[in-house]
This record gives sequence, structure tokens and C-alpha cells, in this order.
Amino acid sequence: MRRLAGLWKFMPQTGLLAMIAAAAMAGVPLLNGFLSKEMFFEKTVYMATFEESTWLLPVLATIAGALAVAYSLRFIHDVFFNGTPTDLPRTPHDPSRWMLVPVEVLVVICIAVGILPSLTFGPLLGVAVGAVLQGPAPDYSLKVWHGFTPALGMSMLALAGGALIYAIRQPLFRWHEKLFGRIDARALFEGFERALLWSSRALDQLIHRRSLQFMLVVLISAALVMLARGFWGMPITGSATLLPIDPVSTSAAICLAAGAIGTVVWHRQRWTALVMLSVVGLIIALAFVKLSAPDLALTQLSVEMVTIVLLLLALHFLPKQTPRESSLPRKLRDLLLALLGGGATGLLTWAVLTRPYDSISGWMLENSVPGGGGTNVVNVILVDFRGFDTLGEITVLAIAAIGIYMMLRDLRLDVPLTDDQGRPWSSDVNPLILATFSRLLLPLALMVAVFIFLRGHNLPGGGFIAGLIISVALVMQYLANGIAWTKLRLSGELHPLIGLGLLLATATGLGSWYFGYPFLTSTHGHLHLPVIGDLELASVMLFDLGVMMVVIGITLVILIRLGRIGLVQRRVAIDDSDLKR
Amino acid sequence: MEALIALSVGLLTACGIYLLLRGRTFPVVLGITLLSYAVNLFLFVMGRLSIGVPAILEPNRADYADPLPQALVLTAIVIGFGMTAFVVVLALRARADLGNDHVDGREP
Repeated sequence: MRRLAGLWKFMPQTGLLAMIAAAAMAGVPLLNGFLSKEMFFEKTVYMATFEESTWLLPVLATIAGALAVAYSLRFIHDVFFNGTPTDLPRTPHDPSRWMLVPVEVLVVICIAVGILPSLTFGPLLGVAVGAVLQGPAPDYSLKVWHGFTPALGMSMLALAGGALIYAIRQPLFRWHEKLFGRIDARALFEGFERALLWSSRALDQLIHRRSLQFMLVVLISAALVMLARGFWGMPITGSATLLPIDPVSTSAAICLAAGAIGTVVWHRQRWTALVMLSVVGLIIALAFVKLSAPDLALTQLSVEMVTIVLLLLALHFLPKQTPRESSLPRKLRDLLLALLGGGATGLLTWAVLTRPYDSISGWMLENSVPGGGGTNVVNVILVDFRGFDTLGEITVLAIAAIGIYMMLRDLRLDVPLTDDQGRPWSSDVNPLILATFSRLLLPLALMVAVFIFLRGHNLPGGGFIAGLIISVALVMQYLANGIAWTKLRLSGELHPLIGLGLLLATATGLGSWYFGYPFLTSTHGHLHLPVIGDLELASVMLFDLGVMMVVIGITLVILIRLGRIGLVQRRVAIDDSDLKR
Repeated sequence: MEALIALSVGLLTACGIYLLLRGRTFPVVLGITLLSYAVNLFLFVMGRLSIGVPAILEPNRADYADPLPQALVLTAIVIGFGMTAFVVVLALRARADLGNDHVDGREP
């Protein structure tokens, strides 16, 4: 810009457009910049009338306005006027038509908004303000002439001040040179940037050691430090009245402790650790029964089954024992972290449980029957009140399932033909008694699942639990009868079930749009069937069906595909064209 | 009863963290499972303990088990299974592609 001057002669169109745009930026009346600047000034004056200390605000705003006027003036005067250009390499000219059009459009908008604000910009502004505030817009007046207001005075002052600053720019430049001439801003900036990059690299090298164990130690320690910092000095025990301890709960807790500690002590003997782990899961399910949460107990129990089957399958492909490789100091370090972490969460739990509490669930308890049409509040929350959450959660499940599906594709694992003590695996894959009984049990198990699904809105049950029960029933068929036998009778892939379920749940939500209600609004009614009796039907039942399909899909995709890999690898001769693929 | 629950949550967390810091994938999976038990129990008892209280609405009753943490934990249990399954399959894939079951993908 220091080399440009007098371009008006060569580029009159560009010059005109630039002048209007710069004037709008400077806040010249009858252009859009004037309006926004006046609103801004008005707000600062409004603030100043509230608190005495904020008188600084309008003054600073006026100075800022004056500076904007000064740089706009400098841009226009220096570039387009101010003598003639001297050492330009080529003769400048206006850019082509199409390069000017975007600027013209913007300049026309500047003028139109500046002259007729309420006609051009008013409706758009109303919509935008309504969307941001989620309600009616407050009173505001969008016009050019408000009368003689403080804001108008500030605008005029800014225009005059800007002109003055530009007029005395040479002395100002000299003054600036004298004060800050020696300071090179670029060197400062670059030096700062270099220091920042260096320190972040150093920190990265300190923490990021390509070792998951080390990074987990850092993570857990950081969490502990933050926990201690946040809760330090707070009284631990609150004032709530406590429940008595009964012998049954104590023995359950002892079993839980034995299971958890056993998992840690025997974690090298992986089969033993798995058995210990399943003890913990069962006790947790029992705890849910004791603490009045039947839905959770059912879910925990069925998830426990599929988890253990999954871990058993995985263990088939992994070493059966963990080598001893942790040094004693490392073990002590991990033990210390574990005790600190466990102690902290235990204390936190104790601190919360001993404090009185006011639940926000009252609204849900009151509205469950009139609003959701079900007496099982947990299920009504899942599929109705917080249906959007549940939709998000089954989406997460579906994404996890896709990830698993992709990782299991073309997976080649060496499957040992003997166990870790050299004994060959039994060739009798499908014991007769188990096979016979599992076939008898399948229809019963499916009927239980349907029953649990249908009653879920009023009694413990629902889509999640029914889906898990169906999965367990089908997994049992695979386990007892073998994959080939089951596949002959249950043809078709199961993973499309995940997408279909997600689609059904979403479509149920979208369906309420058709009737003019927000996403996922529910409706319910009664249907009287002969023999079966009064059936409570709610639109959320379709949503719950979608949930159930996703749960069945993800469970079976993982377990069956894992099981199939084992079969392929062991080259069991099975006449199944799909397996020979 | 509160002390029992607090001790259980603490113990499960401690065992979970210890196993999480082991070097092989299978103990880490066990640790994650223990940790998720602890977290689910912790979240669940945020609604405070209620013993022998109905969870299903009945006419003319006012005291119920808090349904909100139950609903949250129910989905958390199922998602926890999804996550465990993901980590297990990741561990299998890592063993297949890298030839060992160390968490860093190489023998120490």
C-alpha cells in the first residue's frame, strides 16, 4: 500500500466500489455500517447509565470508531489519490466484469440496508434473533434517524476524530517510530511461537512414550490429582440417616470382594480369572435386585452371560496364561495407584451416600402413566421421556458393531489344536444332552423374550432385556448344536438387523412429524383382544422393537463371527458352502 | 449398607485399575470389565439406596426407587458390553496382525 497511489485514474470502477465499502466500514450515515455502529454505541451508553465505573466503555468505543474512520480514509486516499503512481511494473486497469460482480452485490446490499433497514434486513434479523433467543425478540428499533441521541453524537465525533487522526498522520507516524521503532513485532511473534512449539514438544516427549501402561499411569495420576484438588478439605461424612447392614448383604459383599480380588490374584491363569470375574457380575446383578432395581438386575444378568461367552471365545484365540514380566517396583507402583484410585472412589461414594438428596425424578413418576402410558417408569424414561438419548445410545452400539464387523473380516488367527497342557481339544463338539435340551428350550426362551418385551412398558422388561434374552437363546443353539447345524436352520446374515433396528427406531421418531408433533413424541391407547385381554399399545413399542433388533444384531454378530473363525481355522469338515467361502 | 456399597465400589475400582495397568491385553479387558461394574454401581447409587421399595408405579403410594439413575445405568450396562466387545475384538485383531498380545503391540 505504501507504493500505491493515484489509482483512481486507472481503476475508476474499483475505486468507487472500494470507497462505498470503506465508507460503510467507517460508519458513514445511509450505509449499513452506520446502523451497526450506532447500535453498538447505544449499548455502551446504556451500560454506562447502569454502573458509574463503565463510563470508560463509550469513550473506548468512540476511539475505536475514530480509528476505523482513520484507516478507511487512509486506504481510500493513499491508494486511489495522493499523487501519481511511480514505480509500478505494469499499467493497472479495472478487473474483468465477473470479478467486479461479487463486490457490486455486496456494495448494493450495503446501500440498501443502510437506507431502508427495516424493509431489507428487518425480517431476516427477526428470524435470526428468534432462533438464537428461542422466543420473541426484545424491542428494538431498526431505522436510520432516531433523533439527536448520544449514539448519534458519538458517531459524529468518531467521524470527525477519524478525519483529524488522518490529517495529523505524519506527526503520529514519527511519534510511533520514536516510541516503538526498535521493537520488531515479527521477531517477537516468531520467538514466542518457537518457544511454544519447543515446550509442547518437550511435554509431548515426557508423556508420550509409546507405552500404553505409562500413559495410563499419567492419566490415572492426573485424575487423582484433580479429584484431590477438587474435594480437599470437604467433610467426608454427611448428615443423612443410614440404612442398616444385614447379614445377607454382608456375605454378598464378601463374595464380591473375593471375586474381584481373585480376578486380580489369578489374572495369569486366565480361565480362573474369568470364573472369578463372573462371580463379581452375578453379585452385582443380585445387588440390583436388593436395591429395588429389577430392570437393571435382568439386564446385568443377561449381559453377564454374553460377556462371559465372549471372553471365553476370545480366550480361545489368546494365550491361556500371562507371562510374569512386571518388575517388583512397577507392581508396587500399580498397586499404590490402584489403592489410591479405589480409596478415592470409595470415599466419594461414601460422601455422596451419606448426604441427603432431592431427586428430580418426581416429574417422571407423576407423568409416567398420564404422559407415557406405562407404570414401569424406567422403561418409560428409556423409550419416551429420554427417547432421544436412547436413540443416540443404540447408534453408538451400532457404530461399535460396524467396527467389530470390519475388524473381524479377513481375520486370521492361529488356533491351537491342544490346550495349554498339551491335551487335544475334544472332537465331540456337540454333547447330546446339551444339544437336545437346547432345542427344546429355544421356543420357551423366545416366548419368554416376547413376554418380557410386551410387558416392558408396565413391568420390568423392555427392548434391551428382551433383545439380550433372544441373543442368549440363539447363542445357546450355536454353542450346543454347532454353527453349521444352526446356520442351516437360521439362514441369512444377522448384521442387517442392526441397521433395520436403527431405521425402525428413527422412523418411529420421524412418524410423529407426520402428525405435527416434535420428533419422538409418543402416543398410546388400549386394544382389547379376545383371550389375551386388554393390551396397552404405545407408539414407543415400535421404538423399543428397534432397540431390541439392534441389541440382538450386535450380540450375535460378534459372538457368531468369532465362533465361525474358530471353526474355519480348525478345519472341521463341515458341509457348509458358506464356511468354505 | 452405605459403607458396604462404598467399600465395594472402592474395591472394584482398585482391582480394575491394577488390571488396567498390566501389559497384556486379556488382563486389561478384565480390568475394564471390573471398572465398568464399579462405574455402573457408582452411578446407580447416586439415586441413593432404597431397599424393599417398589420400582413399578402402584396406586396410592408415594415412595419409589429413583427411576432416573436406573434408566441411565441400564443403557450404560449394554453400552459397556458393546465397548468390551470392541476392545476384545481389537485385542484379537492386534494379536493376529502383530503376532503378540502386548498392549503396545511388541514384546517388551
